[in-house]
Amino acid sequence: MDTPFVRFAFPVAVLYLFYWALFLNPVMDTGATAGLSTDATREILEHCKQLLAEKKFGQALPDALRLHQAFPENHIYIDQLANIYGALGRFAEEAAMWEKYLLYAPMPGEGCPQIAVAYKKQNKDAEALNAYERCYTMEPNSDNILFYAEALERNGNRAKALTLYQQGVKRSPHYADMIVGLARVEMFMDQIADARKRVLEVLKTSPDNVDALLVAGMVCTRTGEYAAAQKYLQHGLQLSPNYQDLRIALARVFQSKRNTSAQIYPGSDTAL
Amino acid sequence: MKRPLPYIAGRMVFAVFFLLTSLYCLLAFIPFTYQQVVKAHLLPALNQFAELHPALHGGMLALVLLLLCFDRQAAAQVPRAGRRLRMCLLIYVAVESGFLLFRHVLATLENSNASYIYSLLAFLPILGLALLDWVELLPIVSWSHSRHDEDRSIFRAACWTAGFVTLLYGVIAYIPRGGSGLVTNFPAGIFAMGVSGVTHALALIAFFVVLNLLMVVASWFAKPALAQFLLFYLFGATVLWLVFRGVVFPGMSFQGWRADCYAAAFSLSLSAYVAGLCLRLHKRTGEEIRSGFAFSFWVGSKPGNPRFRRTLLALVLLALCGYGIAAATARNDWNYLLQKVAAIAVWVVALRIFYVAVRRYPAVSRRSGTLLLCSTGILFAYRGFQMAQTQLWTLAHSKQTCAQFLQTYAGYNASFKLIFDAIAPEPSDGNFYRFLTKNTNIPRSIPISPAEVKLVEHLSSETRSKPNIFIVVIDSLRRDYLSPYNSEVDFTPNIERFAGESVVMKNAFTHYGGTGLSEPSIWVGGMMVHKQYVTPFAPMNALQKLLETDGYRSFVTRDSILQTVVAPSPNLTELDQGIGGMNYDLCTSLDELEQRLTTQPANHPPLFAYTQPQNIHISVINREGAKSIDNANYRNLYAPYASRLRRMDGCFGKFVDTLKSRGLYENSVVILTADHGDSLGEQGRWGHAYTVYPEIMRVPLIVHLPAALISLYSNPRSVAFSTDITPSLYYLLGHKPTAIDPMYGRPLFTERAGEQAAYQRDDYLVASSYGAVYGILSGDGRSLFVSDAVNYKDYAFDLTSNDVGGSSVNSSTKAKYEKKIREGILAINRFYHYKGGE
Repeated sequence: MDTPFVRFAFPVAVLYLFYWALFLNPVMDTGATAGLSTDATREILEHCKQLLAEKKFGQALPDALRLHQAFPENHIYIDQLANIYGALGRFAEEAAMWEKYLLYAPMPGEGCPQIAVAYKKQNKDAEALNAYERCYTMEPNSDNILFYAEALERNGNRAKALTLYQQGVKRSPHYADMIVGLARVEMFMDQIADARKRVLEVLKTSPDNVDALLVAGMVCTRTGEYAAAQKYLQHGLQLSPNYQDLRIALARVFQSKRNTSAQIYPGSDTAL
Repeated sequence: MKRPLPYIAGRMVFAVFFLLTSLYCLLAFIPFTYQQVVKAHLLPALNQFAELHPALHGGMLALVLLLLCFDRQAAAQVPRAGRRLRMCLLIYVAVESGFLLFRHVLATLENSNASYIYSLLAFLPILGLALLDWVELLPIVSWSHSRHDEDRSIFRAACWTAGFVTLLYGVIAYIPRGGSGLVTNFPAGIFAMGVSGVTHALALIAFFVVLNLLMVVASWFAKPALAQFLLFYLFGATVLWLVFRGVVFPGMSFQGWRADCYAAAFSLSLSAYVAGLCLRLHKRTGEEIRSGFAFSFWVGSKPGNPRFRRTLLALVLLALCGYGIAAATARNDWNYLLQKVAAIAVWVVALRIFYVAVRRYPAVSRRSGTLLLCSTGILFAYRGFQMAQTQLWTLAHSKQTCAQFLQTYAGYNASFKLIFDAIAPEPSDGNFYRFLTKNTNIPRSIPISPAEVKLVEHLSSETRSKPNIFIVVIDSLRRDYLSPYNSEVDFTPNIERFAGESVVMKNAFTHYGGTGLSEPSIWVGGMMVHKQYVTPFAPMNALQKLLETDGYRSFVTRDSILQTVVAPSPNLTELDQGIGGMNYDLCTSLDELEQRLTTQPANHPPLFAYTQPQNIHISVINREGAKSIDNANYRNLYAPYASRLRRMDGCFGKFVDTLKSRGLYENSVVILTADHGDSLGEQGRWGHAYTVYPEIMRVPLIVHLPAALISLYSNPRSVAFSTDITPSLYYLLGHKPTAIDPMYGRPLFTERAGEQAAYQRDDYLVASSYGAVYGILSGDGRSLFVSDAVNYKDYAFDLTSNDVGGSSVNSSTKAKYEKKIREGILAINRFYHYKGGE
C-alpha cells in the first residue's frame, strides 16, 4: 500500500465498485414475495422481454411461466403471460389469465377488452358478453360502451344495444364507430330516417369508413335507393375487398333490384 | 482548541442572518413558495423577519464591526491585503444597511428575477468575511509537513455512526409522531432493522472510502494537513451542493440552471465561511496542525483520552435532538425535506462524536488496504442482503410485498429514506419526467396571456329570481372524516343533517392536490395552466363574471390567492379583513357573515358568500401544538384534526340554522366542499404539497339546492370535481347549456338525465399544485395512475379498496397513461396559448 499509485488506485477502484454496484448494476426489486431471487428474476425477465420483442412467443412462454409461478399475484407477469397465450392461440389459457388480471391488477380496466376478446375467439359468446358487461361496469368509458353494445347486438339484444349506443354517442359525439353502431341498430329497428341521417354525417367527415359505407348501403337498400346503395357498397369493397358483409349486402342489392325489375318488366331479370 | 463562545455566537448570528436573507429572497423567487410561504404567511416568523430586516441589518453592521475588532493583535499583524479587505467588507455592509433604510427590499420582494439576484447578493458578506479569514490566517497557521493518516479512526467512527443512526431512526420509526408509528410484527421489525443497518453501513463506508482517497491525494502535497483541510471543505461543499440538488430543491419544485447556481453559491459560501471560522479559532492556540481532517472537524490536533461518559452523554443528547426534530417536522414537512436534512445533520454530528471517541493515529497508517477490503466486504454484504431480501421477507409472513414494505418503512425512517431514494435506480427514460417538470410551476419570467374562459356562449343577466349562494371550502378537509362519507364518524352530526337535505356527491375529486391551483380552479370552473398565476386573472374567473352579470352582492374571504384571482368590486365585501391568511376560522367567518346578513335590506339583491377556513390545515394544527382540542375518543382517526372538525361542525350547523330561521335556506344554494384532502399519517406521510395520493385528491362535495330547483336530475355516484361547482351554478341560474370542453367542469344538476352524458369523460387529468406530479383518474373514479417527476416514480391506485401504497405498473400501462397526461397538459397549454412546454 505504500506505492503512491496503489495507494491512489485502490480507493478509486473501491469507489468505482460502489458506483457500479449501486448505480450501474443495481439489484432490481420486482415487488416479489417468493420464489426466485431478484437477480434471477431480472435475468429471466430480460430474457423474456427480448424474446417477446423478437416475437418468439413459444420460447418466451417458459420464462413467463416461471415468473408467474414465482410471483402469482404480480399483475405485470399475469399480463405478460396472457399476451403470450393470446399470441400462441391458446385462448382458453389467455382468458384465464385475464380473469386473474382483473383480480390482482391495481387498474383492472387495463384487462379490457382483451378478456372478452379471448372468450370470443373461443366462440364462447355468453362468456364474452359477460366479460364485456363486466368491463362496462368496471369502467363505463366509450370503448367499453361500444364493445358491450356490439356484443349485445351480436346476441340479438338490440333494444339494450340501442340504449348503450345512445349513451355512448352522448358521451363521445364524434366517435365514428359508436355513431355507425347506433345507425346500424336504428336501421334494424326500422328507424331508417335517423339511421340514414347519422351514417351520412359520418361519411361526410370519413368518406372511407367501411362500416359506415356498409350501413349506408344497407339503409339505401331498405329505402329502395339501389343505385346509391350499390355506389356505397362498391366503394366499400374497393377499400376492403375481403369484407364479407359488404359482398352479402351488395348481393342483396342486386337481388332487390332484380326483384323490382322483374316486377316492372316480367321476364327481364337476366338483364341485371 | 479554545473557543471564545461570544465570538463563535457572533459569527453564527452573522452567517445565519445573511443565509436567511438569501433563503427568503429565494422563496420569493420560486412561484410556489412565493404564493404559499411569503404571501400566505405560512411561517409568520419569516414575514416578521422580512419586516424587521433593515433594522436587523443595521445590527449586523455593528456585529461585523465587533467581530473585526475582536482580535486586535491579529489585525495588527495582518498583511495589507487583509486590512483592505476589512475596510471593503465594512463599507459594503454599511452601504447595504444604508440602502435598506431607504428601500425596504425584503418586505417588497416580488416573484421576479430581482429576488433571485438579491438571493445571490446576500452571500457576499459571508464570502467577504470568509475571504478575510483565509487571506489573513492561511499563511500564518502552522501546518505539519508529515503525513498523519487516520483511516482506522475514520473507519471505526463510520461503523459506529452507521450503527447509531440505524438504531436511533429504527426506534423513532416505531414511536408515534402525531399519528400512529410504524406497526409491524417482530420478524418484519428485525428485517427492517437489518435492511436499515446494511444500508447505513454502506453509506457511511462509502464516505470513508472517499475520505481515504482525499487523504491519499493530500499526501502528495508538501503540507498534507493543509491539503486535507482544503480538500475536505471542498468535499463538504460538493456534498452540500448534492444535498441541495437532490433533496432540498426538488422539495421546493426548484430545478434547472438557476437552482444549480444557487446551490453552488450556498455550498461554497457556507463551506468557505465555516473553514474560515475554523482558521480564526485555531489562530488563538497557535499549535501545529497535524491532521487536516481533525482540524476540519473542529477537533484538536492531539488525540485525548476518550471519555466514555461524555461520549454517552453527547450521544443521548443527539438522540433526543434527532427524535425532537423528527417529531416536530414529521407532520409539517415538504416531501421529507426537513426530516432528511435533519438526518444528515445527525449523521455529521454522530460521526464527529464517534471520531473524537475512537481516534488514534500512528504516524503512517499501515491498515488502509485492509480497511478498504473491509469496505468492499460491506458492499458485498449489502448486495447479498438485497439479493436475499425477498426470501428473507417471506419469514415476516406479511401481506405486503418486500418492495411495498420497504417503501412503507422508508416513510417512517427518514435516515433510511435518504439513502433509499438516493440509490434508487434512475428512470430508464427521463424524457417524460422532464416534460412534466418543464410544464410545472412555469415561472413568472415566462409571460402567458390570459385566456377567456366562456362557460356559456353569451352570458347575459337572467330575469328569473336568483337563489343566494353560500360556498364553504374547508381547506384540507378529508371526506372520510365526515359522517355522510364514513358511517364510523360520529362527530359531524350537523353536516350529516345538512347532507340529509342535500345532494352528496359520493365520488368527488379535486383536479389539484394543493390550494395553490385548486382554489382558483373552483372560480375558473375548469383546469388551468400550471403557473401561479396568469394575470390579470379576470378573463378566466368565470364565477366572478357570473356574479357580476347576475347582480350578486358578494362576501368573500380574499386570502392571498384570491387577492390575485378575485378582482375588487363595489359589490364585493371582504370577510375576515385584518386576519392573517392561515388564521381564517370557520366560526369567526360564519359569525361575521351572519351579522352581515342581518344588516341586509329587505329587498336585497341575491347574496353570494365564499370562505375558505384554515382550521384543519396541517400547518395550523402543528402551530397549535398538534393536540386535540377536546377529550373525546376518535379511535383510529387523527384526534387533533377530528376534534377541530367537531367544533367546525357545530359552527356550520349554527350557520345553517340561521339561514333557516331567516327564511333564506330554502332559497339558497349551500355548498360544502374542500380544496383538497390531506395525508394524515398514511405510510408515514403527512400534509399535501408534491403528492397526488388518493386521500389528497378525494374531497367531500355536498350541495343543498333551493326548493325550486330540487327536482333537477343529478347522479351522486358519478365522478364530480370541485371545478364542477361554477358550471353547476351557471346552469342553476339559467345560463345553459354550459360548454362541453375537457378543460371545463360540468353542471352537476340538469333538467334531464341525458344532458349529463355529453360531459362525462373516460379520463381526467389531475396534478399537484406545486410539483411535477400528475395523474390520470379513470374508470369512473375507480383507478388512479400517478407519474411523479419529483421522486421519479409511478404508481397505480385501486380506489375501490383502501389502497394507500399503490402498486407498480407495467410498461404498456405506463406508456398509455403518460400519453394521456401529455395530451392533457398540451391541451391546457394550447388553451392558454403557451408553447414553451412541448
